Amino acid sequence: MKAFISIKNGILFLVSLVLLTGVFACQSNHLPKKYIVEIKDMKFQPSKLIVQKGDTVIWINKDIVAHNVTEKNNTWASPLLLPESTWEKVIEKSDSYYCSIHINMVGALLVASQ
Amino acid sequence: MKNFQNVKKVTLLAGAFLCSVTLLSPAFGQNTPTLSDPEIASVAVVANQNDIDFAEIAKQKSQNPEVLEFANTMIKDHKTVIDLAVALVTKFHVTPKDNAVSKKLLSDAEKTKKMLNSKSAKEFDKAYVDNEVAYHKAVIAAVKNVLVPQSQNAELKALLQKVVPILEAHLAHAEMTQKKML
Repeated sequence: MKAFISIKNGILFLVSLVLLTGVFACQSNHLPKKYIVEIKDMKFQPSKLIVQKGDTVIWINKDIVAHNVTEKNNTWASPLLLPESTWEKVIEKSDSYYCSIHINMVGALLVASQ
Repeated sequence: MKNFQNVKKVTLLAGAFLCSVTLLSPAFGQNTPTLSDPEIASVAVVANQNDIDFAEIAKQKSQNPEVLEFANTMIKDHKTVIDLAVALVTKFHVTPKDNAVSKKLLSDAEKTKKMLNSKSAKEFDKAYVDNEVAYHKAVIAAVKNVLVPQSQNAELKALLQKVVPILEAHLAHAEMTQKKML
């Protein structure tokens, strides 16, 4: 009987181990992706972007005037983006942002739960 | 009482807007002028330079951070448009040509500058922002209805089309600043 319980516990342990390994494998298997936000016609396009933590967003200024990308509370900001220049950032959390030169230009990054 | 004051403010604003449009309307009037590309280039440069001049006055007279921020944006963006227009006429060996519209824009701007310079520090911000709202509305209408349809050179037409969303963003920015002042 004792031997049966030990075997049962052993199997349970192994099953748990396999499941846990699978969970961690799934989490670490997310390959970071790159997304592009065009700054065009005085808008961030797309204005809302859903990404996963660790993904990279690249902003490209397709307008004829300079812009920037500034977090709504000014915790981070791009340098001045002249026409045709780009700036990229690895996204760690959801944020709203705007262009501090043209304050009615706004965008949002939403980090999806894994 | 508060409602009455708000209605009075809106009425005054509407009056100010109508006056500004009337000032501009002979330049971009009901009788649509016919313009050549060199004349369109001249109108584009003058219209942009006028707004830079208004912004320079704002930088001297205003203490309001939002007004100063708006004025700085006007200077940067309108200077960029002038530089692009100049690069284009240089590329095509065209000299911007004075015309009735650009002359009227210049003379109207002189009156506006006098008006802005005559305002006290307290009155200035509202006068400047109200004028920016009216001026951008008039210029957007002129670019869309006169300058873009009449421009013959494809690159000039494309530049003017790219300018429209910039002017619309300026208008939205000015209206946002205007609302905060009510």
